[in-house]
Amino acid sequence: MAQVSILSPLSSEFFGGEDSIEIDACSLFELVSALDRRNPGFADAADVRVAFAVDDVLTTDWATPLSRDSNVMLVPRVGGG
Amino acid sequence: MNAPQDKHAFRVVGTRPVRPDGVEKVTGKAIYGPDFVAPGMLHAAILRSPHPHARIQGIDTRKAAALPGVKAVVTGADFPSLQSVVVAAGESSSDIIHLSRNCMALEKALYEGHAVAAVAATTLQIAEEALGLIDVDYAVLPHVLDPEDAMRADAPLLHDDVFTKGAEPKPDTPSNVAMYVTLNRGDVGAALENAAVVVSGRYTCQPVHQGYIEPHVCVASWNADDQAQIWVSSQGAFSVRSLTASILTMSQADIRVTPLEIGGGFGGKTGVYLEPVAMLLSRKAGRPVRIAMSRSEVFRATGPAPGAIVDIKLGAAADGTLVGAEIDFKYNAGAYPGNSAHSGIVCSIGHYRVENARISGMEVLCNRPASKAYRAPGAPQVAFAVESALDEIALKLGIDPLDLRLKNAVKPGDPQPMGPAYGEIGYIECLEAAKAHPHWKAPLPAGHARGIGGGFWGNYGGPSTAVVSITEDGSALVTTGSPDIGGSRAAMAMMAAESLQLPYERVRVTIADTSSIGYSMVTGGSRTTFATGKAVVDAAVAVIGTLKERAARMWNVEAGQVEWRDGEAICLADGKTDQRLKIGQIAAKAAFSGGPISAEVAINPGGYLPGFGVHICDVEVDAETGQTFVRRYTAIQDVGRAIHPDYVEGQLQGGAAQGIGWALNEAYVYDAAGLLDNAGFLDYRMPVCSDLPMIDTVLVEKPNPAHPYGVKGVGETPIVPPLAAVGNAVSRAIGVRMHDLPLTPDQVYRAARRKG
Repeated sequence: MAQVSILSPLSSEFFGGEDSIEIDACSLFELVSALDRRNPGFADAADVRVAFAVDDVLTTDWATPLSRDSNVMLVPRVGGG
Repeated sequence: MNAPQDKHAFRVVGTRPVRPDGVEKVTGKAIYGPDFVAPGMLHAAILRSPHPHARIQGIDTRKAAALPGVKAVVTGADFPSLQSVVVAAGESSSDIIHLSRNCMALEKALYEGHAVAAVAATTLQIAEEALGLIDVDYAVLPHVLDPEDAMRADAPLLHDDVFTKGAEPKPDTPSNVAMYVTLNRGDVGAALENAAVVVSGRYTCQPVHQGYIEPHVCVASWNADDQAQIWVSSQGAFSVRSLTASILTMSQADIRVTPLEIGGGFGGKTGVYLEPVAMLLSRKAGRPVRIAMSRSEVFRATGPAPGAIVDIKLGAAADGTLVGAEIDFKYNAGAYPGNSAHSGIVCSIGHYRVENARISGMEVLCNRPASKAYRAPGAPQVAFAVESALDEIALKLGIDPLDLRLKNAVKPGDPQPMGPAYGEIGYIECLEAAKAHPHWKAPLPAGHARGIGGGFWGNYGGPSTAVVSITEDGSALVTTGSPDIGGSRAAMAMMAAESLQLPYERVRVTIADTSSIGYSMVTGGSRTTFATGKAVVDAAVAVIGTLKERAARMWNVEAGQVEWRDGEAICLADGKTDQRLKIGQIAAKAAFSGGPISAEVAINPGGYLPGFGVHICDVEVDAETGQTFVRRYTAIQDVGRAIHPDYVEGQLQGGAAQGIGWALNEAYVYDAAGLLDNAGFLDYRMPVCSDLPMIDTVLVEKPNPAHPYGVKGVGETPIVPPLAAVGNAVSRAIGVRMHDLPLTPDQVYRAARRKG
């Protein structure tokens, strides 16, 4: 089970204020799908508003393998100018 | 001091060649937005709301449509009905309905200048005359301009479909607070209680416009077969394509967007304002349509960066170690939800190690133009408060302000505000460079004072596509989809030349339209030299592989027996080690060795690193008038590696100049009716050359290991430190802590007088 940390405002907006949950997923693709099943609408937001850090490294490759010990952080994406 | 430290490692990177687009630009041949002309083109004008908040009860366009020369009229009713969905908009995201409504109001006008109708005619004069014939039935509503007023229970509500994101419990009533973001760590209450010194205060700064020289302009042509073209000055042709397609419910493949030269953007040209309007007019008229904003329209209807109200408490131990921070900020988002609160959280104290923090940020809707990205969106406002508070702590503890920052500065391996550890960042190196700089050591003349400010921006990667192809004579062509705003053609050519080991002049760069190359995100967020540059380098490396393969075939050896050196293939096979093929020789035979030589690379690279900076500012305040003169200014920044140092220095100087304007002069002035009083450069006072000294720069080069040449983004960071650097200098000059920007002469004079 990957340990998932969810930062504000995503935690309140999609997960009822939960900021830490466990999800069984082998990749970020699976993780996003699993989170969307629990909290419909999250997948659409993930496409445009969420950045993922896996074990402290921001990654843009959603095929990145997740292990039972993986720590995944959901971070609001920051837009530049 | 500005040359790369290891310049001998490279032939091209780190040098300062003439920019490839320079001659066209200085001779006036370059085609910017207002220069573009399409055959049969009509001219359009937009009717804008004279009220900051009004319900649109009806629009009668019949008289306008009947005016000779008028070919089309559109209103919000001509826009397709859309389902609410959040879409990517530049580097950020927005609800597509809000983006559409910002292009053209439907039921309500939400700010003075909000578009309510548009006319296309054979001449601009006829189009403007027709605007006067449009009858709009407004029911004027109460308006609100200030974020704290907008949060009151009795405030006029802008939207009935905006519910505060991030609020707990999830709200079931609409609100002018569009976003609420928090960050908590440690025990702030205890930390501040036990601190040796705590400073607190309320800091404010105003919304400011990006101030690009070229106004928004586009030409659209929508054909009878539903295929369309748009020619536009924009930071992202692909963004224009996707947003226009979404707003007009079209296939993206049916819209071809050609990027024209761009006269500045700074984040303000990452979305759409005119393009869907021009498209609808073109479809109705059956002819191409140009819309160009006036300067007044630019001020009334585009940008700005949000203004802010920041309440801060910052505590430190007696030795200067920061122990706790409590920060609450409210950003003035304007008429539609923005995206800058989270970056405000990240950039508030992300450059310092502070164990205990409670930070909250809000985006509040008001009857002003919708806020838009502007260099480091959301960072300068809160950094002004934090860096001012740091200056107060330095004064109270009697610590050198640079030493205070050095004591607390983050270093590689320290946690970022959101958790992951920092990579190879260079804030400490910047502070050390500042301390060693002659400016910092220079004695201050009587009446002068010195301030510093620090800050950072996280930078970004993002998707980019690049093609490198070899011509039949062995020259190289680079094609990207990233508009050139700050000299990226030169940077791309230099990275390709370095990789191919060719002279810079043998490489030329083209910015392609959206139908001629794969997707690239906007040129913004300090991502282009990093991400598109990496795509260019990867494509060049792939081309080298092909060149080696072709040489191997010509020599009848294995590709592994060929080396690429000094722009030519060298055979390593036994008995053939004297064989060499220049790139032109291989290219000349390309058709007979497998076909043309080119490579396309599409990537979404990670590994981008933040850029940190520190600015030093000397000011002199005229005691009789309160006017502030910036006498000396130095901007220091970790840039990873400067590909073309001129353009990197230019980014630092430009960001500093814009930040100085934010600190000293710039503000929107509204009257009691909510109407903008200073919608022009005469009254909206951006700094000009005569206002500023030469801005010195120091490029600290701590390469990014994730980029082939060590690039870190540079364009955002330079606007983060100046607000506090100037504010701290003025505060020290008059002996009064200045909390409210801009530091206009009257305000400085009053503060100095109050002190007596």
